[in-house]
Amino acid sequence: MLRYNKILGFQKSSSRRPTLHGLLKLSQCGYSKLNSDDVTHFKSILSKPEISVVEDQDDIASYNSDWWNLMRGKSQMVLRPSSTEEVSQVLKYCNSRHLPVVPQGGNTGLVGGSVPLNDEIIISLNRMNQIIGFDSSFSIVKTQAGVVLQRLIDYLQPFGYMPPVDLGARGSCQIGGNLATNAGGIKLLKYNSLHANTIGLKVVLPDGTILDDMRALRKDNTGYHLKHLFIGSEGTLGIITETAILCPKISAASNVALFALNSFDHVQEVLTASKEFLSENLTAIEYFDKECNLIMKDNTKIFNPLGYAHNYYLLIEISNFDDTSDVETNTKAIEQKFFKFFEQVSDYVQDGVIAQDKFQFNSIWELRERIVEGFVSQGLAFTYDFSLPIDKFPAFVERMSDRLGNHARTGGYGHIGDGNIHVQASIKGHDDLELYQKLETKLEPWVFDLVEEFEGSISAEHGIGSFKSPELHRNKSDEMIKTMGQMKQIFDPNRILNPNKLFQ
Amino acid sequence: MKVLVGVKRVLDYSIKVRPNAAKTAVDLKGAKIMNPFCEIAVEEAIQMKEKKKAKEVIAVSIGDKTAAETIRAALAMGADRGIHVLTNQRIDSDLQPLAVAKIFKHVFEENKTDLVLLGKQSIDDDANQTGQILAAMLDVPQATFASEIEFADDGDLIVTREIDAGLQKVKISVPSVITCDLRLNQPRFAKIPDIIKAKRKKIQTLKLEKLDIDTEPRAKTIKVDNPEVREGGVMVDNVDDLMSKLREDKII
Repeated sequence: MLRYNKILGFQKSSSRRPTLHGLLKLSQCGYSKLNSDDVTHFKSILSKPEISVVEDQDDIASYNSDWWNLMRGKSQMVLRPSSTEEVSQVLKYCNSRHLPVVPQGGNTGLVGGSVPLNDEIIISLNRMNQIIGFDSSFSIVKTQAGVVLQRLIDYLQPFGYMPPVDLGARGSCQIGGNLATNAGGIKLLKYNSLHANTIGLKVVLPDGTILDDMRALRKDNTGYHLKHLFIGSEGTLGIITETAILCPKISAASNVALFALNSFDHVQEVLTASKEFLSENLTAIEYFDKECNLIMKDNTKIFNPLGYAHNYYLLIEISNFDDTSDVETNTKAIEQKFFKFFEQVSDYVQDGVIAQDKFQFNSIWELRERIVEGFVSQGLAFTYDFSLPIDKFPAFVERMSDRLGNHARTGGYGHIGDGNIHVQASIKGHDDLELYQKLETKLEPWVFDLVEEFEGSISAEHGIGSFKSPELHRNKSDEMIKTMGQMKQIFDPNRILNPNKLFQ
Repeated sequence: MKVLVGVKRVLDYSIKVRPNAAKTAVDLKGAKIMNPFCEIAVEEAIQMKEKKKAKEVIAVSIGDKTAAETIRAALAMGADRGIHVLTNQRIDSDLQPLAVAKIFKHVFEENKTDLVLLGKQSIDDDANQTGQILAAMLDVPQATFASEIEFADDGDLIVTREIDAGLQKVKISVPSVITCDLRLNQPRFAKIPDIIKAKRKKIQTLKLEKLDIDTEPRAKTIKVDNPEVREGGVMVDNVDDLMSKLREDKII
């Protein structure tokens, strides 16, 4: 996280909301203000109050700002409970006092969902970082919600397993937050979503009720699968405190290739061919365009071994799952697969490289994973995460690029196999806030209209948070939004949990 | 100029290295790669070819049949042909720098070489001896830990060496031996078409036992073990506690 803050250093002086729609009329809903009696109470119900009740403004600052460093909450207090019971006590009290709260995991969210919009109390899960255990017979890992994803990856590695989800923020994001946002990431193509892989969880409702679904049996059809309501609920229905997740085995061997192409028709041909010929062995397929490649060249030290002349790039990862063979045999098998595949698609691919060792493997992945940082270093950046028909990817980016004219550099990249594109545009003029605001009015809500025109989703994986709550109606019918509202009313009648997120 | 490049097949450094069950040697099971310093040597040789300073680049490796794959990787990077000295001796421990230097001397003489580029050391034994011994045996100049190689007008090479005190520039004539250090260059990725082309390049196989070279190890490994596990620290509540703990553990 510290590294990201350094890159975004120039944005620290900005105190405005990132979007017009972000300037929400915060319905005060009869909320109370934090007083000294409340503080005393919290100190009495939380263990080690000297570290679990944070009041110092310098310490609170990082909890109050989002990853983009564009949002500035005004929370006066961060609570750091160490158990589900403590979370329950805190919420019960806040509910009775009508004190609004924001649950926070790793604070790596990109849609303004994990920081206060006003002075809500922040409930951080970062002390609840115990890994409970791994059951190798069903390959289910049980953890507290505050476990950082990288730690979970490291914990499972000696067992030969891995979490089903993986994303660039792995060094900071927490598994509870991943569940609360139904995080997608680079492994979704092969290993499916967190809905498919979450076997159980423990969640605390706004009134303090603890719902314990952690027996985590592989099969258990006994009543409504309530846990799915909370996965992707973005901290508006309950606070997840424990998780039980199904973990896939780490592949016997894997390798990655980078392909350079010049026509998007060819990109689609390779995409189709990869699903057809690589099928079970295909573990990731990612995409980025020329502008993204140039952004990386201009702003990072990560270089593209295929150069900077082509229009499109595909990163294809193949894995071998044959544990009866040794690593060397499997590595060779993968290389053979790549060669055979390359022969199949040689009409479409201009050039390609295969990683020869772990260092090159990581370099190729870095080229794709750090594009978001590249755009942010280039200048104040608009960032969007959409689902679109794959054949419309370049057309969409072109329309957005035209809209912004000569004032920004626009590029598209992302999980092309899932139909998920990330579009980013960095303003020319680096930190020219006025230009940013001017362009913002040009982009929103126009860009969401464009998504509707292309029949996509306004948020593929990043979620709604506070940035996109005015746009929810574009992908969900009135009936669905009304029903969601009814659920919210059932679970959180006092609307204390993450107010003004997801819904307006 | 004809350039000989040594390439060694080693365990991937990103894998956790383990001793074997008997604790007599390293467990060699796992992904293998070209020694990173050898990779840098190959890259330098290819760049010399691209600058038209080298006419032919020959990749040389010693080991069992899997060593040929490392030679293929060098061919994919741009080497012209390969020489594989076949042996079942363990190349990470039994086949030691003295023996390797003798083998390279043989290949050098058989191929009328002008320049030998080696990695400064391999990441399995970290010996950092082969280049130096070879130069002495051949009675040719050596420049080790090269971070830059330039060509003088008179045909000599100007090599910048990374040494403890900083950087040192030496001028050496050819034939000579240069060992390559980390900052010399950034090895290229192998392009897929080049990997496929490399399959058609020639690798000459020589059987080590037929070469009449004494390759007996001069040093014997007695034991290989994991480093001691670091024990966790102990939290103390105040200075008095700290002092008594330090006295207890006989630290003070």
